[in-house]
Amino acid sequence: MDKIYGIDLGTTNSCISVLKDGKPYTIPVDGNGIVPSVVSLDGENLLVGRSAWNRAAAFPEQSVRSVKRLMGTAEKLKLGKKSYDPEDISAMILRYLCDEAKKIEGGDIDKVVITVPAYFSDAQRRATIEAGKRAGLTVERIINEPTAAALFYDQVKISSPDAAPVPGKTPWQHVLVYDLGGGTFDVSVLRMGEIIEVMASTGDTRLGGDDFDRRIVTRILRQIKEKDGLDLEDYVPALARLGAVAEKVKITLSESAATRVSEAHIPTPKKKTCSVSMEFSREDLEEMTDDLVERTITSVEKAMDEAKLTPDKIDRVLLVGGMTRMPIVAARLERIFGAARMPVVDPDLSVANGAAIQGGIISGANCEQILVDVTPHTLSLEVLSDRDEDYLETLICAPIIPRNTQIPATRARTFHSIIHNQDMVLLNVYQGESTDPNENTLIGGTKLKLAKADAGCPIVVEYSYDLNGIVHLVAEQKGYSRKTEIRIDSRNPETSQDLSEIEEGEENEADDFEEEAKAVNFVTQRARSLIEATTDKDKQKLLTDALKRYEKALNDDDDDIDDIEDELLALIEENAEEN
Amino acid sequence: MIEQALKILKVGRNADPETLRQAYVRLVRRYPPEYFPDRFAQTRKAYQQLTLDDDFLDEISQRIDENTTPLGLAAFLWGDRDELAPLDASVLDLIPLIAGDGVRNALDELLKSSASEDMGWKTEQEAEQKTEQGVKARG
Repeated sequence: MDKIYGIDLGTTNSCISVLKDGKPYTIPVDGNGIVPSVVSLDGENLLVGRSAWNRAAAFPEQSVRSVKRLMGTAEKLKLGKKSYDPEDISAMILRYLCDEAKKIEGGDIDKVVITVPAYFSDAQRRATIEAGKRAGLTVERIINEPTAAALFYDQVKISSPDAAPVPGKTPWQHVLVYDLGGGTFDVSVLRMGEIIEVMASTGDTRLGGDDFDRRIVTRILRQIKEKDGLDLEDYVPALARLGAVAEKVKITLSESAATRVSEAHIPTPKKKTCSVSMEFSREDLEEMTDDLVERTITSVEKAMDEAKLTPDKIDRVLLVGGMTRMPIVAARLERIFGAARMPVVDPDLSVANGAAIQGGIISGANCEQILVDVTPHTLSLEVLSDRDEDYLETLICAPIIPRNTQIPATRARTFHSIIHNQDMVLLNVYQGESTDPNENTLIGGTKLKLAKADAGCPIVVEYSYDLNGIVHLVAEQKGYSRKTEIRIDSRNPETSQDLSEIEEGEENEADDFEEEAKAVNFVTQRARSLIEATTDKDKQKLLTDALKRYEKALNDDDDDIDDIEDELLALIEENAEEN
Repeated sequence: MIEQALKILKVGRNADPETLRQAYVRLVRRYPPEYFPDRFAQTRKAYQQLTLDDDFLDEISQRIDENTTPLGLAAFLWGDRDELAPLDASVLDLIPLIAGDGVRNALDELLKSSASEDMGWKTEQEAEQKTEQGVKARG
């Protein structure tokens, strides 16, 4: 299978990584691999990355930055004379990353895994996939940024004994990933041992470095107003200039205790420029942004609560995202978790590297790390509320697969018909956390025709949710063998398929085939790499024979294939442990 | 259901939580969700059933309705039934008791707590409470 590249499509910076000899490696696009997520138009020339970033402060009207904050909205962005969707701008960044990476790596880049904040809504995830499509890429999977960071940490841990669990203690660690980026904040709790399980994930898609910068800008604007009587709050050229200044102040204050801002020629609407000179200390910044840091702590507590863990049960805290360089962030977390539990990982590259690892898992190049992820959103069914007589007419969303359920998952729930001889029920599938359908996203639906029965006739609705976000709904009127089935791609709802109209056995044959091929590939890959790794001749022969039997059974379409597969996997397990 | 779950995880009736966890992790490693999605879902469900995971209890409590009797629930949990159908006392014999005294006591508790009533639960909340009581007795 082709290589699958991992892309961290960030608010401020983006990165692209790929597996090399089983290890993730960030491709040094723009020098160090950290590519500013900025697009700028220079005459006819479209600039992306570092060069666009350099232009953006001087030509804010011909530049777009922090487009990630607009993903999933219908807002249009102006770039020169044309206007673009946020997806188009993101596609330009993706295209740039892939083109530049191709120049360095050679070979085509077609398949990618793109990371998104864990708390990204469904619309935001869909927009990200759309951006990939518009860049001409096949998006193999969307994964959560903290999960990607944890995958990378897990790999580091495998090769570094320091980070490994303490012998005699539990064979797993509880890891909390704190990911504060340019525009979004995420926190996830994972259990990492022989397998990596996400236990809870939460966050804030509108909280990040940009908000910290804005506080500094506000302070400078106030100074200008007091000094020169100028109100530049809505003047874009000045804001763009001061935005860049603020970012520099913030970054400097992570290293030094104080810094001076001296800016002359700040553009104003009145043709003349103004200047500003002021002193910022680290304490100033911390005081200005105290509430922002506290908001992240609230999410940290929520995530631990959802994972049913207390701070003393957290073995490691991973700091991800450039914003975690702010000393106050680490200090605030130290107050909860203690300093010793924060291993050093690269805050900028971990996410892209983790995405590359996930790419390897999908392609079969990486059989060692096993990830169990969770649903980012609750899947519910629209039903009439029966809580209160007064609300009898109220439609509510009844959750079937709650948020943070490990996937792939299947869950069922019983509902009841409301009137005598009801002839059908509408089955509308919603995604979102609210009980009010209007606040959630409708992703699809179908009808179930009912047989004549008394009111209160039970109807069992079962949802399955897979790794690619595909929902399979089966609804059945109990005792009357009335059944309906639908397949909804939550990332691409237009392709929903009503399965009740398709002959049984015919459905999704292509999907089944692909799934089976993936499994076969996994089994043979594992067997082969173990045969290579083993020095023991007897074992080698044993494994080779079992693999041959398996391959022969596959060819002959043997009925015992499952048993033979089991046998081979058990053999692999046995021998892998001894290695 | 429990019988089937034990078979899926390939553990005996006396498996303790640690053994269950090991069996689960072993199977997930052998059949990763990426390549064996159905098998994973099945393994996970079996593990949740045997550990009476909150997620599983939540699902159960959602499926309970006014026709569900404590015995029906018990038969569903510990017997070989797949449905929460209403049942009478005669099924008691069908229910194999597993995993030692903990579960036996919990079941006794569950049955005792509902014996004084009319064997039926009126509301979901009440049912939920009952299920929880059963679980607490186990813990």
